[in-house]
Amino acid sequence: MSELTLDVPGALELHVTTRSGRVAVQAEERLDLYIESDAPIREEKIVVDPTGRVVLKSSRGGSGWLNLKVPAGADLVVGTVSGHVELHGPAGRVRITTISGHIEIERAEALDARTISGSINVDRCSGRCKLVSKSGSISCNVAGSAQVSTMSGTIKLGEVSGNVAAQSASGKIEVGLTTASDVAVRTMSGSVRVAVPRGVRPHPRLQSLSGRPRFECERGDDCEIKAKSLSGQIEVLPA
Amino acid sequence: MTEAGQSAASTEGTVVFTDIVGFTEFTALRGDDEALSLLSLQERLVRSCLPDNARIVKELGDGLLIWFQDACEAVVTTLRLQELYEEESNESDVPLWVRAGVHSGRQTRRGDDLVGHDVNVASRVCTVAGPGEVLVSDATLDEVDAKLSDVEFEELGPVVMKGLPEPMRLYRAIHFG
Repeated sequence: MSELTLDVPGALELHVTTRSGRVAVQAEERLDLYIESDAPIREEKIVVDPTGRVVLKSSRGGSGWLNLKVPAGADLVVGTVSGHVELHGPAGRVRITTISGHIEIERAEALDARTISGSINVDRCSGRCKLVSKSGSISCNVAGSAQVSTMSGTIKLGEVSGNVAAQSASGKIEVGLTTASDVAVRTMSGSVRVAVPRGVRPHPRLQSLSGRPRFECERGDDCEIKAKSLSGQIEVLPA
Repeated sequence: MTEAGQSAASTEGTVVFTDIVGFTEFTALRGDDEALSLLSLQERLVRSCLPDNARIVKELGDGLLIWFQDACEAVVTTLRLQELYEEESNESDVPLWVRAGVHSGRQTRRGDDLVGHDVNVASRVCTVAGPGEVLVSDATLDEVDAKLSDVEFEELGPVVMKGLPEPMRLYRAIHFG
């Protein structure tokens, strides 16, 4: 195991690329960047510029794991092929791309996370939350706004306070709103369920080619709920 | 970028890969005839948008490989296609959910086909895109420079892709207007 602590000259924007191995990032009250790895940390693979951008490239072949501790609110960019990515604590703008790894996020101000075959789980994203998976499931407990797509996994958005766009080919989609926000949901065979806060009167535009959509809210024009499915059940219900 | 000065077997330009998301599910649900109609619709829309110096190189099942001489035209046309796909998806029962990857570089001719590393890279970029998205590589962004005033490029960061030795910066192209 090896470790390294780096002073960060400004607001940290950390870029990490690795081919494999777990990447775990802890955002916490600190001013420096702490790096810990099971493989030797080669300083020539780390570039620090005066603006606070730090680029960390893991050795070719990747490491078994990489633990990073960053200042709270730091921006993060992580790219891996097969590594799982975990983020704990409050981060700033976060962008993660992995081909087959899973992604776990505790808190971010804004998020763009994508994986081909892994799943994505987010606890809290206060701003725009953009999540893309090809075959994995996606869940987000709390989001400012959400733009989410998966091919065959399920999508579960617990509490969204802004607009929502979600689509899945065969997975089911569940959306919970906390305010009057526009929703656009599309599936092919998956079911759709949207929970609307009590007192909000949405304008529904629901279309399922098999089965009658269920709309149990009072109609109005507070927001628009648009849902379309080729064969899935559609439900829009008061929360 | 022109073909002049290149060897007869190679060309320079921008390759766009597209892929219909959920095509297998759609075919299972709606049958082969409707799936074929979906492919025909896609091809019709693409042909209606293609500039003179571009061509559909080949169909790859539900995907397309399109070549453009000019990177700006490639980006603008692909964004326009996404708008048309979205309109079709909204107005009809056809889920034309398409993802697209754009990469500029050198391609090698093999008959009417194009092959080579930069073609493979474009294909890899496409796999990272979500439905409705147009992702472009840094090579394409360099070609486009700042010539497209109504297109914004949002950086995804360095992306490590299978088969490619180095991470590549990818950008989401967004059309304003």
